[in-house]
Amino acid sequence: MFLRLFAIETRKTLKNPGLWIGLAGVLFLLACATLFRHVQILNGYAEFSGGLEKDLLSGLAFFNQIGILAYAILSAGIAAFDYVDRSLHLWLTRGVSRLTLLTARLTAILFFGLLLVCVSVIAVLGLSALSRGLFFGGVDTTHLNPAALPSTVLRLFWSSLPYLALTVLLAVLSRSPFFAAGGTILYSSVVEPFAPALGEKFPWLIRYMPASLSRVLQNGALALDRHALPISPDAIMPQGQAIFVIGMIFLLLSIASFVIFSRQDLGG
Amino acid sequence: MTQIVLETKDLTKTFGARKAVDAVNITAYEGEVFGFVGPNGAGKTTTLGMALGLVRPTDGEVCVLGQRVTPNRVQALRDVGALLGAPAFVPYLSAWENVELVARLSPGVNKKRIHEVIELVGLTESARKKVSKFSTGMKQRVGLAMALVHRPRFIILDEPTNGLDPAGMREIRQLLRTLAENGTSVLLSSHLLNEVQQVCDRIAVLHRGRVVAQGRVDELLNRQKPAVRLTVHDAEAAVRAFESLTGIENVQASGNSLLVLGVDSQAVMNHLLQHHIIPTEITAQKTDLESVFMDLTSAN
Repeated sequence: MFLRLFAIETRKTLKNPGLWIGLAGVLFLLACATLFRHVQILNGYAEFSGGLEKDLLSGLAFFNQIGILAYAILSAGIAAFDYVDRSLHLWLTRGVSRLTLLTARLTAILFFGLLLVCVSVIAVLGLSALSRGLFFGGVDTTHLNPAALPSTVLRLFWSSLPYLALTVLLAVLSRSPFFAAGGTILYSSVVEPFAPALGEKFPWLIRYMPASLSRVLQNGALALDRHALPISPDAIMPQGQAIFVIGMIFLLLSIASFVIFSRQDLGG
Repeated sequence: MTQIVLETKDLTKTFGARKAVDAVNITAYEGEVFGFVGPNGAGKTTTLGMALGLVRPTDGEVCVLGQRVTPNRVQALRDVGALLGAPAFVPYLSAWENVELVARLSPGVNKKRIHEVIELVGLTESARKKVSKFSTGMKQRVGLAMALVHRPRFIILDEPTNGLDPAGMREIRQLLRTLAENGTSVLLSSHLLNEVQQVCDRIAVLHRGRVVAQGRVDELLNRQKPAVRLTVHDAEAAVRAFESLTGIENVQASGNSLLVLGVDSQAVMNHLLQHHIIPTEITAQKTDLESVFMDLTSAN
């Protein structure tokens, strides 16, 4: 039943015009960022050296900023729209277990989240190569290490887990895609940037914030700071521990979603 | 022995201080069309929600096809099709894609069956159109197709003719009768008493969260006391004459028109003739589910 539900969720999401509009939006913003950087290089405002690797770092740093928006909209779309159009009833009245349904839905969110990161990495590389070819007459791939790309993708994806799970929890709690996506965007754009101001009084708060953990994770491969932090990534925690903590946050938020969803009245 | 397809035992649901469903006991049998009637807010949808595992009962239990819904929801609802409230569907998909999506939950449902069920509900020509562009009646048909696609043994339908034109309503009523004749048990929740009277074998009347009557439709109709409407030249004389008629319960006068309750038209006619009163018009009030329903709900 899990595989059937996962296939249903995947099919539903792939057929949703919102997915393609959102993806086109992300790609458009990435293209704009790449072009902006190359125009800066042409005008002498940015360094020419570094080639495609530098473009990738810069593009993914930008994706790390806009990614939360895309993750939030994607997961709210999958987890909350069923409450609005009541298609949740279609599965539950057929005897589908709530646990299996939410697991399938969460798996679909993870699948599309990973796909989004992969597409973004490929798009940044493709757009940079195209733009460099047009503006500078060639592509410098000297510093680019293709073997490091999978690790980069996985680090980016793993960093997104707390935001995906938070959106699912908000979707189950509020039954509204707007509150779910809005809540996550509000958290990442208001709570996280202002939390470092409290860093001296509550250092543990900074340590376990998804933005801090994301920074620790990116520190080894790419410097993709989401927000400036009062402490250096090395001082927060080791990378292995950060991976574990992110996993635990995801698990706890998901368990909370399961508990609430399994006890929810869905009449009418 | 006829199998019970739905049984509730003291089923209760409380929302805060309000009891939406209060110790409801209903039994629906295999192969019958069971009607569930009641005014808006009587607790019909909440009861069906509990039967379908969407709403958690506060007390009591509900069994579907011999299995308790809590905790065996998955097994209990495997052979059930449902259309609860406004039909649920994925709006950006076509009617065909919606039915196909639901069909994926049941192994063995092929394209031929999807085509069959789309045709059955009269959507063949619009099958490839997006459901979001459908009228209410057409959406209702999609909901029905999704409820029927896996050939369920028991279907629960909440107001299935909502938004349909009279011809469409008649088609659906015929469809429900055909389904029951072919062995599918049907629970029809509706506020259209005329529809329920035409289609259902047995009914339960729900009022303010409680079952106020349950039984065969003909038995409930027979339970209704006779009533006669007549017009006379001298209403006051007629009312005085009825004072001596045995069995009479009430006489309501409005100008020259009288409504006599508790006796049949033959007794009324004989009695009036004995008193030399000749009515200009006399009709036996037709006993229908609406009058039964009004009696039951006003008495409670």
